[in-house]
Amino acid sequence: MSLSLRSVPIVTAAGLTVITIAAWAALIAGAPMADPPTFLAAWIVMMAAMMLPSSAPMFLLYRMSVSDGQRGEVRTLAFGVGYLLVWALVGAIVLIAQRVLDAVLDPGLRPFGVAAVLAAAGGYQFTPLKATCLRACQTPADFLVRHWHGGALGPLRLGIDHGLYCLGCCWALMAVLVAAGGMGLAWVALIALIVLVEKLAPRATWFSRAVGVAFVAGALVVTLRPELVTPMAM
Amino acid sequence: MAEAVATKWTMKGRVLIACNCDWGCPCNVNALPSKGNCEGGWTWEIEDGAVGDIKVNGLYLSLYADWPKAIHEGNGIATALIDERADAKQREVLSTLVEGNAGGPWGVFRKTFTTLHGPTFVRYEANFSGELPEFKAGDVAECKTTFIRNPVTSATSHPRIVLPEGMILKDAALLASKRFVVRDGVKYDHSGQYAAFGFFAYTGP
Repeated sequence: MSLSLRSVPIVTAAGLTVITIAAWAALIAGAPMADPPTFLAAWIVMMAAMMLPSSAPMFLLYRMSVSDGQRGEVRTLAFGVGYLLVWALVGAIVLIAQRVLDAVLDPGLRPFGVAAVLAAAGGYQFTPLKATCLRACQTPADFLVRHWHGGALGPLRLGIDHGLYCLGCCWALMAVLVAAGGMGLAWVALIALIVLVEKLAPRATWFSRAVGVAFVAGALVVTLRPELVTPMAM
Repeated sequence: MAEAVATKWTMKGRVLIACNCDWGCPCNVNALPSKGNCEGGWTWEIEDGAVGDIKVNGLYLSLYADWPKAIHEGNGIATALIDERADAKQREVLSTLVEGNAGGPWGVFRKTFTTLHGPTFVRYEANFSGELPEFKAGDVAECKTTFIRNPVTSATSHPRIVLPEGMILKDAALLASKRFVVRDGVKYDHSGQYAAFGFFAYTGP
């Protein structure tokens, strides 16, 4: 893998930029999330907006490690599709979980549910699993060489692998986004910013821990003052 | 030995390196080997390769050597291994390459050997796409890798090395061998020593 100005993947970089801007524009315009298909579509758009900026180094390095002869752009797109496939599946799980919880959970208990999610997400920030997954996302060159898959389906499989590590890294943050933030725009931006700092500032281990402490503190506050949790705007 | 050929070839994929040196291997930075001599070699997984019209995608190729001093000081003995799944034509072109008759890194290494055994055709059981690469080449050679660990905290360490002038690879993840044994042609067991893993891309002659 040689790094030279000539090898900078301009098409991939431009593609990532356009998709990210379009996804944020769609989020700001406000997408309907009424029925399952539109919810899933909106969820995928939200994931693209939140995750593509911090995953850009992985996508660009991937593009640079497949040569032009192999239809590099198509392979990079397949890599991205595999990655978003994992997050799409998470969207389906969120949808089902929400329906089930709405049906069985007394609305009065909702603040305690939010507190439980915040506490769990805060605790997860300190686990070795989180650290392992985050390390894979922080070191794309290392990830790519050790998880590389060849062949026609290779890019898709590698994208799914990347998505699974990303999920291991960020599922708790997404749980907070859904449970505490109700997927509101400010929360989307906040969680995306946390993901960005965690991935792109690998030396700032204190940051992940500070986020964990803040979530646990949030759980305590919600437990003591349940009225702070407003009905979910969905 | 096959005749020297001028057929154009290209090859890319990933290569697993192991030797008797300490982790990191001083030879990467042009210093002398840790123990004064070099006993080690390479297994290449060819993801995408062609010699003229003959595709060699998906095949494995190995070269393991025993040099009495540093590699560039020569007088080495080596053994070459080729994936037995290769058909007759593939075996011929891969033999030509690994015997050093068509350039590439093998052409350079050939000059440092007094004897080159093989190539022997063996069955590879390899996993280069798991968390850590490993392979077994028949009963002849095997290598399993593990992460280097911090001796104080036992935390896994993930060093990388960038070699802009590298002949085998330009960029590698540094690992340790959990098991590294060669049993035919050259014989040694250097489990627990240097291993490295990275992408390669060669063209020739």
